[in-house]
Amino acid sequence: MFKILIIFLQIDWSDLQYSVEDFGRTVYSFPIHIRILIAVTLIFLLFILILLAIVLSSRIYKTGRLIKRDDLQRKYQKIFRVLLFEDRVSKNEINNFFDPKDLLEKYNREIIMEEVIHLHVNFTGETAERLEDIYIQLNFHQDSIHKLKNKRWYIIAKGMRELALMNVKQALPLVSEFINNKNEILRMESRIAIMKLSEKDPLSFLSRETTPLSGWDTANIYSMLSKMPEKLMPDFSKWLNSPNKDVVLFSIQMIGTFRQQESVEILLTLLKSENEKIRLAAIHALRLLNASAAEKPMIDIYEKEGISVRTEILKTIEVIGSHFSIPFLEKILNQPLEDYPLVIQAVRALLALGVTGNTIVDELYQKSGSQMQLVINHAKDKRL
Amino acid sequence: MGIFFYYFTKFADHFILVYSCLLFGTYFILATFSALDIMKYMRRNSFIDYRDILAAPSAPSISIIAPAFNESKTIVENVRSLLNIHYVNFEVIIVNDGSKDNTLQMMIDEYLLEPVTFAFEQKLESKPIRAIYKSKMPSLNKLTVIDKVNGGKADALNSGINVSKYDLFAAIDVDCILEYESLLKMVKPFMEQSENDKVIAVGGVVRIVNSCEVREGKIIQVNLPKNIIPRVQVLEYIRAFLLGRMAWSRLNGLILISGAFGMFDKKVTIAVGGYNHKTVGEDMELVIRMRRHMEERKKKYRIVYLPDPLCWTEAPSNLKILGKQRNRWTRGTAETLWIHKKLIFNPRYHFLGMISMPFWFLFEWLAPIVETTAFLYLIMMAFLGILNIELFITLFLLIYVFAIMYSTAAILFEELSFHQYKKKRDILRLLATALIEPIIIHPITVYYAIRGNLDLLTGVKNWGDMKRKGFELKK
Repeated sequence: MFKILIIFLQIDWSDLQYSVEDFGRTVYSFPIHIRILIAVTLIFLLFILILLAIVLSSRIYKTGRLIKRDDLQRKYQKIFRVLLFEDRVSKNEINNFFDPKDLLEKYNREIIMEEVIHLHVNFTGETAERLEDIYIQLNFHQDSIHKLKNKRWYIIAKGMRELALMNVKQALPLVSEFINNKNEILRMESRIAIMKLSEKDPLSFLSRETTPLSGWDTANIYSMLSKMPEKLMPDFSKWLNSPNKDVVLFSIQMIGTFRQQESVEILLTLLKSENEKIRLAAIHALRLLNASAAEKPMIDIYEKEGISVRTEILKTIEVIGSHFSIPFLEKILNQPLEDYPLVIQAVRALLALGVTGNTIVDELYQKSGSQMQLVINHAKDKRL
Repeated sequence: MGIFFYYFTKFADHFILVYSCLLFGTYFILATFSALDIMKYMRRNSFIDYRDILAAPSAPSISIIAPAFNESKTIVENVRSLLNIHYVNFEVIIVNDGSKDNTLQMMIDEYLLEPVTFAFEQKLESKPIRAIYKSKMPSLNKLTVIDKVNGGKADALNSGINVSKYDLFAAIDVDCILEYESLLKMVKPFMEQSENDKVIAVGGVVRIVNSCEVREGKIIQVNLPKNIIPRVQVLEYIRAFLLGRMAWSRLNGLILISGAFGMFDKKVTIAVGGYNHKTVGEDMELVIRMRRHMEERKKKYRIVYLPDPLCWTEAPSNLKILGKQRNRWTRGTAETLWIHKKLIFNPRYHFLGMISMPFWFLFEWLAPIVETTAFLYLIMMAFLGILNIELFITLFLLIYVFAIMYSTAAILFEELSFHQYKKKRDILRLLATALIEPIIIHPITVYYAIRGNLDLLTGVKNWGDMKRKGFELKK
């Protein structure tokens, strides 16, 4: 390294200047297309230097951020311990524990807020309430509300998430405004926030949903629902007439999942729906509800249905079926063997009917060809 | 003759120049689209909790199909790793594709397998199945093992599809290591699809596991390969996946989902006839056929690519194996392009016909041929003493600098997005690799690509034995 420095100091810079000019003159003597190529190469070289600078500065920035975050976390660790677990600190005194400089500086303020939210996720009860007090006292809720006015969607989404996590009930009308936003993440965050903040009707947004709900959306709603107290669980049948087909589908799913037995009657009417997905969901929900009343209506619609609805009907008959289904199932098994999964399901439905069903299957086995015997053996093996 | 030669050299000079410019331009556009898409993905992802899928009634069930051929050394661990995947409703189907070693017996012994009577429809063509096995242990109910006559990877996957229960299937190389949330991430685009926007396949980024620490089928520490050959491939993979396929995904023009790990809609796969036995590029060929099927039926569809590192695979660590791999890739690309030649520059297939297929033809398959021809042309000119030395040097420098710039951009994307290589010296080593790759390893891969084309012309059909060195296992 030292040798390189000495060589560097020994360079005659006036010579170098001459060389650069000379190089320029040489380049200028080239034909135009060569000069263009040299220019493009130099531009690419410049790009490489810029990219390298970004790579290295990104590393330095990330490391610096981590160090600063660690410092702040260390600084406020003890303070949070006092604020959360010592009763003598009143709400009005909370501000005094924090360095005003940290609260004024945007970056530090954001880190402290993130720490409060992070702690809140890990606590319940009084400690969580105390953290909510800290959040309000330090005016962080205003920061989050301010984010909702930002033009960038990810800042708005972050604001909604903060308000929901910190239980800022006054923000409910503000987050509700995003329920039909064209950005799917904002719609999702809005739903989550409404479910978290609304005390009376956490699923009120279902009545206002005009955009389609995807499987992913419903997974999110269900995830929130499963954490909600049972007393807040609404009667999902009230959305079965929604003009939004996805809301209807989701409600049917939830009726089945949360075993809302009082909705069986209305589910039976949905077996006549024009929408195949609704019929499928209704049959599945009736199975979950163990609704024996569905046996006959399902058999009635079986013939005009496609493979997927037929399979779902047979799966449901396996669970709720009675001797009433025997002639229906025998008829399926006596038809030419076409769709294996369907016939396997029909055999399973018969086997579920106890001794009578088993006898019929055994008799069928005796008189059938090898293909049918294969199907029956498959159906009998519960691992398959 | 003199005039003819003069015009020939003029044409050749201009062709090389125009081709290089087109290549640079296309790569620049792809990188821009990739940057936009990765940024969007990263922002969206920060609001997503994939665990929500686990309990959801709307979570689709998945069949994981993994062909195995002579994998006795690792099969038990690999199957265990697949059975421990973080997902709810899934089955694991291992297809023993006529292994000559004791792969099957190892599984029978370890997982207490016994043959079962299994009724299924032969919807896709495949070699005969000898037996289907299930475990006697109820806790291993998710596992199904198919033992069949050897027919190659495509044939084994078709067998697995025939036996599979669910509407989505994931095709995976049995020795791949999946990230913890891989399936959850892969299934999400299928959950987001609508009736007018069907998702037919999802792919994810494949990363290189060489020199990484692996414990019980999981990556414990990501390391940059010590050996230069896999390290160059790390750079290649970052470029291909983060700069290439992400852009194609955004443009809805993706035609390749890596055979190492991809998820597909089973109905569409069956409708197009499954994997093609007649090509060694069955992964690419299937995706093109699926797209073609949807285009011809005028159905709206999407193929999604996720930039997350979802799957880790072992890369060839010596030139011999690398050569076999590149040879096979070239043959696969050429065969697939030939099978679907009707699509190239065919406006009926929209973006697929006018952009994706021509790109693969001009810049993936043709590039090594153009490079080699240009190289031979320059030698000839030098031999004749009429080489335009100024043009040669400036063009060489331009191409070299562009290659470094493109690799640096890839390293930047990696640094700003998934940041897998955390050690400071890793970045420097990657940058150093970017400097030497265009002049040391790239000419070798070009050579193997040319060999692949020659093998194709002479009728070579084999897959090429891919001997694995194994991961750095930590007990």
